[in-house]
Formats: sequence, C-alpha cells, structure tokens
Amino acid sequence: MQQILKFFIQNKVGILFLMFFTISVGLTIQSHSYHNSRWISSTSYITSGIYDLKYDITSYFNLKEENENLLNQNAYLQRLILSKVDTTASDSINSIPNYTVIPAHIISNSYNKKDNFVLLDKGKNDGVFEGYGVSIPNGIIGIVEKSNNSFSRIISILNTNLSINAKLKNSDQFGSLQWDSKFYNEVLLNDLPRSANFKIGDTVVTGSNSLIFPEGIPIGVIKAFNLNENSGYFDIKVSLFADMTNLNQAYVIIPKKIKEAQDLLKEDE
Amino acid sequence: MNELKLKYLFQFVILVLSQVLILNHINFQGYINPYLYVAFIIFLPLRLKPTYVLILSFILGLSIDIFCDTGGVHAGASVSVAYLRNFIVRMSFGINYDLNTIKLQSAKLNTQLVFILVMVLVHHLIMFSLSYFSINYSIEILKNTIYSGIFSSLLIFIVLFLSKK
Repeated sequence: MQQILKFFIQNKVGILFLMFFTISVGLTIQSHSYHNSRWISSTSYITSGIYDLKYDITSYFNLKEENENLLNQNAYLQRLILSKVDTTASDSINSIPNYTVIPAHIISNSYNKKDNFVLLDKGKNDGVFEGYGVSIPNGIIGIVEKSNNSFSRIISILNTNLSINAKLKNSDQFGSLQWDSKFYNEVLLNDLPRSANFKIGDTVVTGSNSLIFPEGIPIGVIKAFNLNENSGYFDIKVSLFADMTNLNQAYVIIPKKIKEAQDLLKEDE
Repeated sequence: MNELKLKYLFQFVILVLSQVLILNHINFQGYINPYLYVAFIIFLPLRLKPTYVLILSFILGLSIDIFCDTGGVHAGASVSVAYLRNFIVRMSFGINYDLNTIKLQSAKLNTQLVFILVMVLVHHLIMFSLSYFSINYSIEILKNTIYSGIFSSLLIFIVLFLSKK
C-alpha cells in the first residue's frame, strides 16, 4: 500500500498530465459528433455575455454597410411585390405561410476551422429552438444546434457534420449538401444521380425533402462537377452565394407545422 | 508573492480576451491565426512547480475552448506543452542550469528564440492534430502548424521584447 502511494506521489506530474490530457481528448471527441449535448460550449452565460458586449461595441463600425444591405434587400422585396407574375408562379411562395421568420444578429462566427459554429443573439425567449433553420438574404447559414434563454448556437454550413437537403433549381432531383473543410466559399453536393441534367452555372436551392428549410432558398451555383463511376452519382462543387466571412444579420426560419410532421414521421418508424 | 499572483491573473485575462476577441478573427490569407495565449505558459516563472504549471495551463486551454466551441483541443495542447516545458527548457538552456536562478527575460537571444519556437510548434502541432482529428488531413495540419507557428512565435517574441523594458 505504501509503495503504491509512493509511486503516485513520485509520478504525480505524469499522472496529472495524463488525467488532463484524457479529459481534453474526451471533450474533443465529444465535440466532433453532432448530436451530443455537451457541457463545454459558447452558449454559456459568461462567454455569450462577452461576445454580446463585443457585438454591442463593434456593430457601430459597420452601420453604413449594414444600411446598404438592408436597402438592397428592401429593393429586392419591393421588386417581388411589384412583379406579381413571379409571386404566383413560384412554388416557394405557396409554402411560405407554413413558416414564420424572425430576425437575429450574429454575434460570433468562425469559418477557418474544420467544424464551425455561429452564435445568435436570439434564444428560447424569442421562440428559437433546436433544429430550426437559419438563413440570410442570399443563402443559408445552418441549423440551430443548441439554444438557451437568450442565445443560440448554429451549426454552420461550414461544418463537416452538417448535411442539408438541396436540389437543382430547374429540376426536382435532389442531393445532400456537405462541406469538405477546404474553402469557406465552396461546398459539395453529393448523391445526385447519373440521370440528372445540369450544367456549370446552374443554381442550387434548398430541397423539398426537409422540414427545416422551405423549398427554393438559393444556396449557390455549380462551379465544377465530375461523375463518380463507382457509385454512379455526381460529385458537384457549389460556390456559395453567401459570404460566410462577413455575416451580420440572419433570419431564423420557424416552421409552424414541424411538430405535426415530426409526429407523423415517428409513427412511421 | 501576492503581487506576482495578481500580475499573472491579469496576464491570463488579457491573453484570453485578446485571443478570442481579436486574434481569432485575423484570418491572414484566409486561415492563419496567431495563438498568442501560449505566451502565458512560456512566461510562467521557470521555478514554478510542474504541478501548478499543468493546472494553470489546463484552465487556460479550457477557457479558450469554451469561447471557440472546440471541445478540448486547446486544453489538450496546453497541458501537453506544459508537461514538456521542463524538457524544452533543458534542451534550449543547456544542461548546466539552475531552475531557481535563470529567467527567460535575461537569457541570451538565441536561447529565447529556440525556447519560444519549440514551445509554440509543439503546441500548434498537437492543437491542429486534435482539431482535425484525422490522418487524412496531415498536410493541412502541418501547413497550419508551420504558418500559424511562425506568426505566433513572432508575436510572442515581440511581447517578450517589449516587456523587458
């Protein structure tokens, strides 16, 4: 017994190191899997408070740019209202009553890691819950992964764990959108079958096989593709419309009927 | 001693805040960021007991992780470099040294350089390996280690130089 104790005391630095290192690796592994609730995260009270304070200070620096963006967006919406042909013809408008949208500010954002997250200043008190989609005027950002009372963390589209249902604008063939962690303005569209008909420059939009995003939100354009002969599916590179390095405002898309749909899906299982 | 403790507490807070609020958003060339917070482990007094160095480094790394949503990447890298610190000191200062008397600030220029560079590179290598966590990304890991390592070392060296006066 004494010798065991002596051993521990003599090697206490090594043992302490091993203990700390194991904890760290454990936390790292946990952070690499998507659906785990974790206890080390930036939605905690202190960290989100500090990020919020920083946002309060730095948001004044780009007010001008912000106004410009809002103006452009207003102009776009105005155009939609004026050209009534568009609003009746497009399918996506029909699905909008099923969704409500609330605006939010992005207070922290990263794009240079393998798995990136975005922090929003809206939480459960504002009606933002896990699993909701987040979009910006010219694309989508990601899906709410965790929310507390006043903040929520978004698993970014630039995160290797996220895959989003997407389709070609001109046809109904769909695939899944994933990031390969190489470039922050480029994502991959996988699982598009051999029979798909498209060319470089075609628009990719959100698909209809998802309860999270309404169908038809533009994501990006096809930049390059090649046919994988082994699997019979296309590998497509899509360059994003959204500039993920410069995000300020976002819209949380709240699906009104998600509960009913989820219940139905569960019955199926 | 109390003054010294206060000094390191102050250093800790400043380094963590500057890291998460400013340095993580530099993104030079799209992905190169300096990791200045390692300076805390480098600047801790060399005579400090290894147990304390380990505990402080773990807290430091974990604080950065909480802000960056990176799990335990920074904590793992920080404790590893804290564990290896004595070894690296012996390597860069030479065998004939007395822990109680030497100081980083008064050491020779090339000794300082070697010490900082080795500490930073070891830290960055472990950090990027943990954050990519896959052998398929070895090229990215090495590339990031070298570029960010040079950036961080330079910054730490400047801080050391300025703090001398």
